[in-house]
Amino acid sequence: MEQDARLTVFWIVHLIMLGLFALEVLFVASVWLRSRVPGVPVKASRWRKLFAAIGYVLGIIFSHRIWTLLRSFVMDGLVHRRIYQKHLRHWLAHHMVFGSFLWLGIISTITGVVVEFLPLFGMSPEQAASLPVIGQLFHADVWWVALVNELLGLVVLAGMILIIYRRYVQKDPQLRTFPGDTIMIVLLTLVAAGGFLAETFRLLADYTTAAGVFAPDPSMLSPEEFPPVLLPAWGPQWGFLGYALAWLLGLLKVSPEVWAVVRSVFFWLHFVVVTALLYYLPFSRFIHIVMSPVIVAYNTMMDEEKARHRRVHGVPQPTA
Amino acid sequence: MSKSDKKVNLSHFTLRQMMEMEACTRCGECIAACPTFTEAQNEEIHPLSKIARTKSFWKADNLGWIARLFGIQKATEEDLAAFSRGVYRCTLCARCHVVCPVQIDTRPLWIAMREQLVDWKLYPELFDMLRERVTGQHNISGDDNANRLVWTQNMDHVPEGLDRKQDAETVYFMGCVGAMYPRVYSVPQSLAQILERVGESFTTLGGDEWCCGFPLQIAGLGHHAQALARHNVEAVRAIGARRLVATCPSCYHTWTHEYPRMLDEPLGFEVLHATELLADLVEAGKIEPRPLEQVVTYHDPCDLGRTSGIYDAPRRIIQAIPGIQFVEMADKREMSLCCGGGGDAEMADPELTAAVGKRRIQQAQETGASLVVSACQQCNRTLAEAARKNRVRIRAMDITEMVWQAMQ
Repeated sequence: MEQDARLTVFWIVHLIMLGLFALEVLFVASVWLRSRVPGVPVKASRWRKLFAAIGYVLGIIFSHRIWTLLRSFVMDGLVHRRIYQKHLRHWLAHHMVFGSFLWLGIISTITGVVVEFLPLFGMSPEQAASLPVIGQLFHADVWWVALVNELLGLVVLAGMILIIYRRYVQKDPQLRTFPGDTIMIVLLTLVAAGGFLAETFRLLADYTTAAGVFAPDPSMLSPEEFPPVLLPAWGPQWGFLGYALAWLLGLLKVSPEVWAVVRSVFFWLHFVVVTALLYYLPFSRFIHIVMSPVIVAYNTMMDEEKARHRRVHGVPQPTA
Repeated sequence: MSKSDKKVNLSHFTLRQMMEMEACTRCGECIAACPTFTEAQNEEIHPLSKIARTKSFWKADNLGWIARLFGIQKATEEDLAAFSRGVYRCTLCARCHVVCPVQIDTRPLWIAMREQLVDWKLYPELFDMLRERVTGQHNISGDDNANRLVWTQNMDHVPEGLDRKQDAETVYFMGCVGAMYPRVYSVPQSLAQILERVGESFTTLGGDEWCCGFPLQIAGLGHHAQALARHNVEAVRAIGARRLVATCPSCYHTWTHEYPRMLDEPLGFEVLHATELLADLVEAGKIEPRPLEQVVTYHDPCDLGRTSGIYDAPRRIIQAIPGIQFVEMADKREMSLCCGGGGDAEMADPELTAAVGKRRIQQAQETGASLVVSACQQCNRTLAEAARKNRVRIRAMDITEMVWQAMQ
């Protein structure tokens, strides 16, 4: 029950925060629409510009150009082909952080859907957990979920170390570090490291006996928390780093009630840092996470089209 | 330092450019590739700084307390002055676009920033003179525009029909530099003689040729270029020509990329750069070059290569001349280094652009070539000047001159 209340509060706060973030992004985007949209008078309303832009995008989506766009979106926006061709080490560090966070985000979102949203449609925890593949994401102590989360977290941390080394130790002359960059790097590192601590204290809160002994057993979780269908796949020890930390801290013989409080503290700290990172996004260089895949896909498509039309003169080039 | 009351007028930027600025990852690839930053090592100059400043300006203007909450402050007058220095010390070579992992279309972005600086009256004073000359005399030299064919005066034989011959197949657009600067008269002279020799029906617009508007457009004064575009296009249509050929890559770029956009209509005739036409003529056997025993390297003009995509035509021409040993420079094609002569940067900081030119002529020297060929009068002039100043024993020549020489 206590966990239910905590999660309910979390989701309410989370949704409010996401709503505020969406407002922030819309506010910034509304300023973009003060700019010029080709084919629309400069002084036209922002709504008119928005609809013109949407129309233009739909025109691309429902045309043969979509294939060029999709190809460059994947190859340049997600795989980062150009960075790979030029600097393998930078590409690796970038993917270690960007790629791993992306997968962690996808896993968390699916977990949120399975645990919180499917029951709203009348599905019991047992039924939700029985769904093929995604059902096992119901709980982080399913062995492969624990392992994947652990590995991705470690890869993020390793990537952050590479990034910090290049920027602050090696002082690559190509880079410029603004104060906001340092703030973002600190926040990202805190998110990654905080994730491990949040996991450690969750394990301690869930699997510490009344005598204060860390002795993990699936029977310590209620069927609502860990549906019986998942029992064969139970294996928190696959999250080896968090598990080892929990085991070490378990030697302190602290009561589960204390660990529950610590877990809540770290859970909310992790949440606060992630939220701060999210809110700072539109004002930091990390807005590129959202914008650059879109822009590189579009610009690559435009460059390719320009090259094809090079000797067809006198035809106005698309200039959106 | 007092805060400036100047605000960014976002209508200078397109929605795409706003999003491009947000997409900048600050990876610094552009810093390493920027030729003026390489020479000046001044933080005001590099692309990353220009984008970061512009973003902070418009965010501070439009996002009020939210911007302040995230540490973005309103710009001071000194910030804006530094921004202007950086933006106008750019040769608009677009090397930053080539190396950008996000492929930001940087050159139009830098021009949009210049338009904003013109609004704020924060541009080099010399640009006022440029504007007066181009809008008043219709050329960049300030001479009487009726003298557009002055380069024919020292020719032994002047091709017939040079001045607005009706129904000519081809109009040769000479460009202000070629037509009015004695140092490069040999460029229009060479092309006119080549065209006559191969039997091409061609003419020029004579005194009806107005500046294409490129210098104004890249200075951020593009709104003055509309009338020039309309006049030039109508003049070519009046001749009834089927195509237009330009020796100047900047004119060529303006005709192919800017005019259709500015006028929002098809031109109704083909536009070629002289190298495209010459390559076609060589390959069709209409030009049969005689041997030239030279070691030659080729400099890609920014407006012909990076911004117009023409790399092969000039190389095909050079390699078609017997006897020539063609060698490439370390930086070539898409990654070619700017000569320093572009972007009106010379008007803002001649010492800086001279340093850029020096680096390029040294690259040419390192190839062991005795001749550096280009396809741009401005590059030709800048490279020749760099060779002279730095006592580099290498000659700079335009490709049309070289072809004409090989036809003697």
